[in-house]
Amino acid sequence: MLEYAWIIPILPLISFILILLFGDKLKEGGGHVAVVFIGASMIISLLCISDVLSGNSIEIRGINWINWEGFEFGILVDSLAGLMMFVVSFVGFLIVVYSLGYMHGDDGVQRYYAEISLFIASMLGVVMANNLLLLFISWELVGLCSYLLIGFWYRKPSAASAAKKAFLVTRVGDFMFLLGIIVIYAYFGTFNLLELFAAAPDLEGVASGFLGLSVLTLSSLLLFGGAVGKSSQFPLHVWLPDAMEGPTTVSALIHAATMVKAGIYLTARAFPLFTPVSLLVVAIVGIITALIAAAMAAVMTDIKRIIAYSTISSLGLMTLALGVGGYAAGLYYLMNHAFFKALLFLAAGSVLHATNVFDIRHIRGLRKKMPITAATAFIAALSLSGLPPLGGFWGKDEILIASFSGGIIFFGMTLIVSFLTTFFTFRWFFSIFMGKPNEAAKHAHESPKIMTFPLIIIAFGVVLVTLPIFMNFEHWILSWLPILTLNKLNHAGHGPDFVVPLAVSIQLIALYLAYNIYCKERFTSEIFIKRFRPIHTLILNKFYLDNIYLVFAERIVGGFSFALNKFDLGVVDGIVNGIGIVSMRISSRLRKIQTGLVQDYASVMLMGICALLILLKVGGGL
Amino acid sequence: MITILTYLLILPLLGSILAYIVGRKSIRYEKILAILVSTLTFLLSVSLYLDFRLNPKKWFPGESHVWVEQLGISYTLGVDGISMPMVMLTTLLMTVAIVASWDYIKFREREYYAVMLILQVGLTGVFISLDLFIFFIFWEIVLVPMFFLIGIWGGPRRQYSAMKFFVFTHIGGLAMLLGFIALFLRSGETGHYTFSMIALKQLIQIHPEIFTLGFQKLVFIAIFLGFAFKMPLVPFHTWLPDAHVEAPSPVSIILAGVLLKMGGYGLIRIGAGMLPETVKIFAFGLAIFGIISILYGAFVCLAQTDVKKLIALSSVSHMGFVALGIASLNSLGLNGAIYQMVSHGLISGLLFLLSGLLLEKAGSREIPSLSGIVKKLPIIGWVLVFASLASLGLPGLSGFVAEIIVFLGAYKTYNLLTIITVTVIVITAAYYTWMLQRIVFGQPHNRLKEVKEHIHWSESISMAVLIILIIFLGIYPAWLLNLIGDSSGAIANLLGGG
Repeated sequence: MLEYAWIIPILPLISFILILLFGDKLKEGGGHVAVVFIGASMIISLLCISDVLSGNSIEIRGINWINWEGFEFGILVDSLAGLMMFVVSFVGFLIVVYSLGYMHGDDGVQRYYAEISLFIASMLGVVMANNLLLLFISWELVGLCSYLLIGFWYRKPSAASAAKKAFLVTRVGDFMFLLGIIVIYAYFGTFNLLELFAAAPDLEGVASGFLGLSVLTLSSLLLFGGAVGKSSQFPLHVWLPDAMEGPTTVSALIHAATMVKAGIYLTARAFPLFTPVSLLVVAIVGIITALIAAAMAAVMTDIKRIIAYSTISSLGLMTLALGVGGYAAGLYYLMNHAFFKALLFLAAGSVLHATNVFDIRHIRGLRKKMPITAATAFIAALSLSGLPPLGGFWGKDEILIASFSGGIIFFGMTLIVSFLTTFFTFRWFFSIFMGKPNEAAKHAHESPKIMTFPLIIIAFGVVLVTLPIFMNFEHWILSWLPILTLNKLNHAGHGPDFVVPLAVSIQLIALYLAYNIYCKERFTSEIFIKRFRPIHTLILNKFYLDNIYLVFAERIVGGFSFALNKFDLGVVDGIVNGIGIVSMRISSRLRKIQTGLVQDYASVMLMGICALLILLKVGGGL
Repeated sequence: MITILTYLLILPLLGSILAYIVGRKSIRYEKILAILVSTLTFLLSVSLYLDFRLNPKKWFPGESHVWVEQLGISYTLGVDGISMPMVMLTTLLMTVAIVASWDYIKFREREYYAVMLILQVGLTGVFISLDLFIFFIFWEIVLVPMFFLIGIWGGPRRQYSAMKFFVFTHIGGLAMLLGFIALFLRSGETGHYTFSMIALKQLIQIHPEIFTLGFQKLVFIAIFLGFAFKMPLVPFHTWLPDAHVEAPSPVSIILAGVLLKMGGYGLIRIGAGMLPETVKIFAFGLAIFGIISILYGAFVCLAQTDVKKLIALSSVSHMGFVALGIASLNSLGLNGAIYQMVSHGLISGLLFLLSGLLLEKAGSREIPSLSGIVKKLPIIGWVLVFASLASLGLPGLSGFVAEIIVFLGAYKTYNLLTIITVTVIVITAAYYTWMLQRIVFGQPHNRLKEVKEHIHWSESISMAVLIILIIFLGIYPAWLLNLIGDSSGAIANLLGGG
């Protein structure tokens, strides 16, 4: 089956072209075409994955893009790619089905399904590319689709603005990714991933000449820069919360389940290039992201933004896991996160569909009116919270153990993240679904079947993806890595015994707090807010990072370009026009010599001859 | 023997005269004739391409006739992998521009089409001459029709802009002519005077005692001025925004799409091809010129409020890549430079076409007085999104290929400078997405209330052709790079980089 794997990304691509050209003539703007093609793609990828599960892998080198060494574009399917293919095509397919209900009646459905198809095609391109440049190309196309889908309701100025912000912020990451590509080509002379990994040990310790970094450290850090943009890591995380301007399905698919995983995937894929120095950077970025995002999730009040910040925090944990060598833990968490986060978003979409209230303080007690939504949301929340027994627990557990080997600081900060995660997850869940129903909840109704059915399916998925941890997952996922790379890893389950009980008890405290504040309302969060007012304000204002970036973009970059434009018009063009004016003035003076009188000309000529004779005499010519 | 090369010149020349005559009877016939002639010329260039792929050696030079024997001037024409894409770009964009003029030019059409076809003669001539003398003649021929095209059919400040364009490029041309004459005079010291590029190239190689390095440097500076004004490189660029803002949009297509390429082409053909030693010496300076153009152009774009001026200045930024590519002194860089010329020709052609449509349909090109055009003018809006993405280097479209190849080549020679230059991808993305946010998306502006989109067939065809080519060259660049490869590789060898 694996030799046909190249069909997997091609099918959604065909769907994109078909819908783009003929979607306006089809029902639902071609939504059914998308379902069929993406469904077929999913079936083939599941078949391929079952091959990969039995230990096979394949690299197909197809066309040479520019007829140059190292530019053979093709596909690479191994355990890592297989894992991602599973996540992308399975979750992607379910969300496209859900869209048939959710997007019904929107006047841009043709555009929607075209863009979703292109998105899935390019995301599959990212995870299946055998070549770093092909990966980058697909990566950028993913970014394009994200840009178009965030700005899907382009008439809303906030959507247009959020789309631009997402594109530009991730572009900063892409700038580093591109630099990484350029540096890698200069030293390796190829973009083929397997060749790169094979050549990496030879370059160990070769200095790059920049900031005293070695070639491998420099290039892996630059690639990681791309991941920071795409996977919304500190300090480039600011675009993701705003990206919630798109349809909720887009938030679920792109900004929770799949696209933001591209960065994690890149880090995992390029892992053999990473050095201890660059892994330390990865770990630090990861833990900072996880911590600040968890803090923000705990104070925000918008139903979608809370999930958005929790996504950032989870992505931070995955990055941390890779950084501290918990490779399998990070990827296991990634897979689980894709499912429970998609479920969480779709449940939120269901709540919004019923109430259209975005502030969690203004919705209460929905569980009676929306039992299916509440039950599925609970499953997702349970997994996210990191409490037993679902995948979120096992994954976070392994990450904690790995972080322990990274040092006490990492471990301590990860514990704080665990505490905050449990707290904000149940704050979200209790606020919306528990307690006495308020006005908004009284008029709510459970969503139609086309929406609740996928919720139930994904809820089953959340439970099922818990299982691989008991089935030799680690051995399987590590199987593609070069042997030398394996030394950089911490293997699962090698932490001290107190880690898990400690974490669970801390999380139980968080659960207890959330329960009393948001479910039973025994006391309010005001007492904490009053106590830590400055910190609370700081977090609520997103650490003022958005403001700082805005000032930088408007005042510094904008100011510079306006000044340069003035310089261009005033000085550069001014000199040109000045020369023109001066030469006109001079010539209008000189014109006066041309009097038209023969006597004048004759006398000037005579003077000239005399001067010439004198010159020659002086010079010794005569 | 007369070959296709000469027909490429004669056909539009005859077409021009004929169109002028036919135009007396009916403007409609004249338009059809002009389209026919330009299409035929394009097909001719395609047949040249097919034959060239089979037998590239036969076409360099393709034909040669002695013209003024005493002065060593010969009518020598030829194409290689570098000029072949330029010739096809010229004939293609000329057809596109003439088709796009159908509904756009509404007065003095008779002269307009005649002058456009004369312009084509000059442009094609520049790319296929292999004799410095006739190269210069064609170079100057280009100026005159362009002067009239801007000066007669242009916007309110057309006369100022036409004059500025003429004076600027003419000054550059004169400096270039000085360089050519100097080469010619020196060639006399070897025994026979010649203007032939091929002969001069060999003479320069075998007679370093006559063509001393100091002499070559002076010649290079002279011809560099000519090309730098044309490309244009900062600080020789200020004629460009003025000329574009005033020129009618079909003329802008040619101006940005083909005219600017004369500079880049000359720099490769005459600079790198004939005086490789000096290019090696001045490479660093050339790279600096390129990098300054890239960044300067991009930053200035952020501050623009006229869509057309923004597009014009982005050309400065994009043409900087050509200079940087050449300065890389290796074949990746050179390939990238040539690829960029073709790609920028297509993308800027599309963008200028759109800016003309914008003015025509929405009544303005000022960013503050436009918003939400995609709601009212969906085709123009979405094609503008496409063209902007192409111009900002989105992978899958032709601009990305050129940029990445130039970067890969440039990094080998100037690593730190290249890293600084790569920041341009963020700036370019910023000015385009910001422009899109303000004019394409959002609520439709009041002035658009009554607007209904009606795209003339001529405009649809023009846009479709350009879009298809931009996508094709973005997905399968090997096609064009195979065409360029051998010739650019030979020049890269002269420059010392593989």
